[in-house]
Amino acid sequence: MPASLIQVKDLCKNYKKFNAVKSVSFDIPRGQIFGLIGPDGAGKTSIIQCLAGVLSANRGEVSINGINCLKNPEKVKSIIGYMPQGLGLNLYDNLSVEENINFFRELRGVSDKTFLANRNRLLEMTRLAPFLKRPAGKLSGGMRQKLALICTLIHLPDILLLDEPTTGVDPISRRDFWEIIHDIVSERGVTVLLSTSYMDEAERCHQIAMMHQGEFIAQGTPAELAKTMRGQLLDISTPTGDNLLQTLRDWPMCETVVQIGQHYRLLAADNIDNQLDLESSLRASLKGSLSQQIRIKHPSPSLEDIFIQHTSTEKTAHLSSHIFESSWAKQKQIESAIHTTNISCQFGDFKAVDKVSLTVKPGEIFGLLGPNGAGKTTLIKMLCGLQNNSGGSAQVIGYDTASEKRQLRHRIGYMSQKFSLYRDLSVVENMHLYSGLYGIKKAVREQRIEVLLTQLDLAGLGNRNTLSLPLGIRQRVALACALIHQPLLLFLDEPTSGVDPVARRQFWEIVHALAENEGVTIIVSTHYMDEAEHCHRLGFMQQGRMVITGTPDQLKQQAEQIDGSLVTIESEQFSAAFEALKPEFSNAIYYGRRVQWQSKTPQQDQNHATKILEQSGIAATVGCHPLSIEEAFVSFIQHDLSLQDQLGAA
Amino acid sequence: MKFFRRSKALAVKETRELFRDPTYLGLSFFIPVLLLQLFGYGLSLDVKNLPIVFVDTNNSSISREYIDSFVHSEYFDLIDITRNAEQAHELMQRGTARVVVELPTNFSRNLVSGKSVAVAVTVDGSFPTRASIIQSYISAINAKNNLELIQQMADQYGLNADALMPIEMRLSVWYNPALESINMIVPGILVLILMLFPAILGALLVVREKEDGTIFNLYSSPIRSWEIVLGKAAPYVVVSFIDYLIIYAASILQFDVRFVGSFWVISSAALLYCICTIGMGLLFSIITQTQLAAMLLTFLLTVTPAFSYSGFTTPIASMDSLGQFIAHLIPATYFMDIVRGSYLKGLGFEHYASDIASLAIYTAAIYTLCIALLKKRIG
Repeated sequence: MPASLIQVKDLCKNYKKFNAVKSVSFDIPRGQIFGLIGPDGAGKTSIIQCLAGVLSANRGEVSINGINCLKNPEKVKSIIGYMPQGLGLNLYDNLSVEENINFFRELRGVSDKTFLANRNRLLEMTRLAPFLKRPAGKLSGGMRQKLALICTLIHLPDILLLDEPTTGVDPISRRDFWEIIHDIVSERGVTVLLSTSYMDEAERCHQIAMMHQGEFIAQGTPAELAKTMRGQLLDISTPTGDNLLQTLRDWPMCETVVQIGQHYRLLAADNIDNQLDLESSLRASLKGSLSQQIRIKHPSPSLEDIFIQHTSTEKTAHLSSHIFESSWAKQKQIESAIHTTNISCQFGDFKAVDKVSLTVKPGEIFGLLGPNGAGKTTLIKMLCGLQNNSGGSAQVIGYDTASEKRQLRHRIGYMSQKFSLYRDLSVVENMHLYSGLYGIKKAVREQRIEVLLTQLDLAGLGNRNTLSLPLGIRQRVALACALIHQPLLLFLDEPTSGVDPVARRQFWEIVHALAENEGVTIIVSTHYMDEAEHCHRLGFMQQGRMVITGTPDQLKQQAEQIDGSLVTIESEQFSAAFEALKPEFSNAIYYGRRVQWQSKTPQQDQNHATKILEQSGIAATVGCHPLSIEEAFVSFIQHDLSLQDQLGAA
Repeated sequence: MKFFRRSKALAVKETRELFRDPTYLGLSFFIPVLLLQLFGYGLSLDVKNLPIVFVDTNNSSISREYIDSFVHSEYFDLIDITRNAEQAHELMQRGTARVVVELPTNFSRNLVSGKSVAVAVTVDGSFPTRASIIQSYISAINAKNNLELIQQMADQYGLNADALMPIEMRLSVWYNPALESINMIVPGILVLILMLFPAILGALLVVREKEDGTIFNLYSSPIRSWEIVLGKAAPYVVVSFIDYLIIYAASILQFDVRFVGSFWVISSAALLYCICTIGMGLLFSIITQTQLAAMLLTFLLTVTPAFSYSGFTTPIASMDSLGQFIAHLIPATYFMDIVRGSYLKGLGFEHYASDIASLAIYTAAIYTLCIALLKKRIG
């Protein structure tokens, strides 16, 4: 028996002249969760497809359990379960949940006994049993993905190949999804290879490989990768929310600094090891009261930090001056950019938006979060004047959305990464089109285009065909198009999904500058949690209602009050640690190589866990982790759901 | 039995999807029947009720009798009798009239005095077939009038009229005695519909899963190419055969088409033909990447040649050698032969053996290609 279940050696795959995979090698031992992590177009899908026996390679060797996947592709197909990319894309929409499962069972020739036991277990884990008769096309995104997973697992494969299984899935379903994966891995020793473009998700894997432009740029456990980080990371914030960007950039120790919401993430040069020295040096460089007021934390590097350090070779150009001709947005005196009172939208019996009252200040970056169908899109349509209210009223940048739609539309912009651009037109042609749509005069147009191209780091790309540009650049082109009429309010719909972290940081830098320098108010609608961190303030939506609003920090603190803090156990023997702790802490779950649970008595739990682990002879680090935005979101939504249930019961 | 289990699973899935998708259901049953109605009633090649105008400057009892001989036939509808030739030509220009017949002022005088007279006939030639049919109708009616005049003359002078017309032609028409075009068109439509719809349905079968992404379920499972082809084709062969039965019944019950052949012969040929046309669609589905491309290919390579070269409108024998060559490359030609023969002539099975053998070879070749080209890989 070979040492590793999956072996990939020197794999190369070209599509015509494009090298999608450039000499990649890795091994995956039995029972491991291996994550391929990287932005869209990094080559993840090609690797998975070669392993699934549905794609040929130009060079190299790929084998599963000793079977050559390139030469005998049909032989591996009975031992693998392959889930292609896309939300439940392997399902037949017209067939019911049950019929879909049965189809896969027959296709794989699963015997009755195995089938029944496995089916019931999977239905229970996914909580899909009540929906057996519902057509797959009428399930929510998260449910579809769970059904797709059942269909992939129905024949009890030893190897799971999952291509971006959690892209576009809401956080609660995503958590369910990961629990199922960890369950089948610990129960049956299944080997999992999955790809993802979420850096935060990769921490749930045992072993990860970071991919960029067809190559592995780093490989190892999440902890090993964290050690490759050069320099010191600092998280800086002020209680008053002052803009420190330029000041921090001028600090000689500073290598890079980015604004994330109201925090600054700064990478300091390597030459000072002592954290205290570094802090005092930073405080000394600040003027007046700021030097005392700022809070400095030392976060552990995220995979995104590591990815950026490995891929960005030169410093990206910073915005030098204004993007708009005059910061006229600032000059228009309005108290609030958005002010709604109890606006609702009802389709028949269905309340798409249910009495939402919301106020957003000018120049604020506000994030609208919620699962698919929570009402985000309808709310945005109402704020743009594209959808009539069935109740309440809304003022957007001083205009009433019901009576002043025309004036309103000239003052707002909209950008969605997926749908904004005409891909057969060049960059400038796209911008001309948008100027035409907003009736901008030719003389003004050429000047604005020039400024936008320079400021958004698109210089020299004006005549390129949009289709030929990488995703990250295309997304800045879409932004440029949305800015050509200099809107006061900008709606961004999942603007950075799938984009590589370097381009993503650059994008957010522009967004922050728009809010700060031009006074543009920005509304971001997303269910990607890392986009949420960039907002000044967030609103969580659920079933048409605004469940809660607040700054990311406030929301995390409030969530800890609901469900408690996160107790984490990090250990080389994480499976043994889990077995030892599970009887005492029933809500403990695997999180990659960590074991963790939420607790209202974190200190007590930590002491208790330390004692148990010592008695079992397991070396481990016991600690307390701050909640992520995603965990906060899940807490609020579940809390809200249980409240609704109580109301319903009463 | 594992093989058939997988094909069966696929067939069950296809059938369920078919019955739950209104588009596919319509494409399978409703539209073929609708098309039969549209063509069956609309595509008649019989020319009747032609609008005719007479310019009668003679206005005598003899001229009116001559005009009556036209009006009393079922082929012409009288629009107007006028004295003004220009007015008649205007009616022709506007399309109100298709034929103008001008009788000269001396029409009755010449005839009474035993002189010949010229009648000017103008025919709208925009549709050549129609014009030539009009021409023959008018010649026939005119000949009949001449015959009566000769008879009258002969009687008048006491001669034997037969001696003036020594050869008489006695025409009899076999297979379609009334020469009704419906007997030829409806069976032809049967062949075309069973070419077009099974091919379209087949063309969507694989490529739709490619567009949706579900094709990876099949690619990444142990199912074999031939099992996929079998599982996908089987339900649609049944659907197409049901279409055949519906069209067959309608041809006899609704359109009163003569059918003198054997139901079993035509039905077994129809089954083979359906298998073949589904296979053609499947083949296009396998080699294309989008539904649009598959559809275009289907239109281009199935119904277009079938319409022009299968002998639907023009007999194959009257095509040039290239046309005849193409005709033998398409399955519709062989099936057309069997269908027309069964409806109109009613020969035994042995007369169609070579047609059926050709269809069978064709079908086998199509399916071999399908299985060979269905690679469970994307590149």
